Amino acid sequence: MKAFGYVSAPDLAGALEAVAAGARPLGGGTNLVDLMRADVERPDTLVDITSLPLTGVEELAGGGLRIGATVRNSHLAADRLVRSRYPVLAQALLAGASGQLRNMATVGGNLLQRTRCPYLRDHAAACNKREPGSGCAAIEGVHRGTAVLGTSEHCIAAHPSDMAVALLALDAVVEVQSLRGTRRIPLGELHRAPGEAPHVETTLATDELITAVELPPAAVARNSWYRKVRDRASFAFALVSVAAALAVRDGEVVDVRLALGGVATTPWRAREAERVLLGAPATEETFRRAAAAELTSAVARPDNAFKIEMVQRTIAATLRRLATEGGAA
Amino acid sequence: MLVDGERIAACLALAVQYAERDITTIEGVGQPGSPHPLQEAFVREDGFQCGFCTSGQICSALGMLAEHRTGMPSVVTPHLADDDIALTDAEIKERMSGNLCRCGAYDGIVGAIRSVADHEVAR
Ligand SMILES: Cc1cc2nc3c(=O)[nH]c(=O)nc-3n(C[C@H](O)[C@H](O)[C@H](O)COP(=O)(O)OP(=O)(O)OC[C@H]3O[C@@H](n4cnc5c(N)ncnc54)[C@H](O)[C@@H]3O)c2cc1C
Ligand code: FES
Repeated sequence: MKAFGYVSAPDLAGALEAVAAGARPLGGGTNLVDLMRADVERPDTLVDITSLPLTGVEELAGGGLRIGATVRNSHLAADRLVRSRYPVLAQALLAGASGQLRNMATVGGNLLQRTRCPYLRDHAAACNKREPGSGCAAIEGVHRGTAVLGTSEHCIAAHPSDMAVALLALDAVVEVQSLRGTRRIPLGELHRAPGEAPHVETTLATDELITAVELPPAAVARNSWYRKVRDRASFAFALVSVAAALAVRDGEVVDVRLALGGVATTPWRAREAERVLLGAPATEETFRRAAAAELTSAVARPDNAFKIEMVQRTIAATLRRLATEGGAA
Repeated sequence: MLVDGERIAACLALAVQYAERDITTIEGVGQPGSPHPLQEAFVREDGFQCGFCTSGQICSALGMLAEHRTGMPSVVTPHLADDDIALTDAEIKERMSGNLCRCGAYDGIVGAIRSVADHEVAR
């Protein structure tokens, strides 16, 4: 592990200055410290942002929610408003990592966590994320956990976050600050598909700090569910996951949100499926047709092809649950 | 270990990030000759074999029980909006999944935690 400096940011202005001078923000450290140990991340200086006053979960006028960037994953999952209005988010958070890790992990850090593709940490193998231009060992190698949507010939690594999948279904907006000012990025525009440059994973500039995530009000979210399928029932990353919210009136889908995890290179909003569902009868046939429509562009490798069928079944099962028994609240 | 009573994973914590905080490791739980009720329960319920994972299991369980007392739900909680969440065996297993036991003493671990949790409720 490379030697590094550490500063605890006294206030937001100090944090923005440190980041502008090249320091890396440190949240809970559960991903960054791990990757520094593995010599994948090699920052010169860390700026600890966990003492900043970004720890609030506040109700917005109109019914939305503003979540500070350093709110711990466990605290967000336990929040009363999240549990009643956006249960899919609480469930996604609680499906991630372990109790200990959720007490450390922050919202900003969770959004920016890096892939669990084993080649990212394997210095003996090629990885375009770790070493741009070196190639992608996963394409011909171990790739059971990799993505089938949003891939390129340069990278097929899956995005690992559960929380981000639920936030994407909820139309979250990310507030970002730098010494240059403040901007708001729809979550769907934060993560970049690998394309020609797999190492450029987000649209953030290096001097920018995530300061908050905002959720617009969404009545449909009260009936929502996060379904995660994994190799063991707990403390494991998703093979596939589905965040869904559904409103049915007189047997017809009148509102729907659908996002997928484990199957794509970024958190994946299932817009094709939503299009099929909206206005259609809330039946098994519709659910399956919608799922199939979303996966038409999937590109499989031999060992991850199973995800295409698995995620379609999981989409249908999650929608069926919401149409019959109701959501997680 | 516990930081201000909350469990975290020490293996991913930079010590400097927790300066000035109240840290409890297994050394701060119980005393020789007067073990903590949860330590007694681990002995009584066969909560370990080799003992390698036990200090982590006990610290984690203390943090977990405190989380449950504050109303923290888990992913197996039937209704997330509920105020009163029963600490069933399924809840204990899910909430303790961050602590692996290579010897597979899981039944005893759940039993030990269960007995202490039941005792707390009975009090
Ligand atoms: C054993 C294990 C199991 C896990 N299982 C799961 C799982 O099942 N599901 C899941 O979703 N996740 C899982 N995780 C990942 C975990 O959720 C992430 O590590 C965590 O959310 C990262 O948050 P953090 O605050 O610790 O980030 P850090 O490690 O502190 O930071 C991560 C990155 O974000 C940057 N950063 C942090 N905050 C900001 C900010 N405000 N602005 C700009 N940049 C910032 C850092 O510079 C760094 O690049 C697991 C992790 C471990 C170790
Ligand atoms: S008792 Fe041996 S690892 Fe748990």
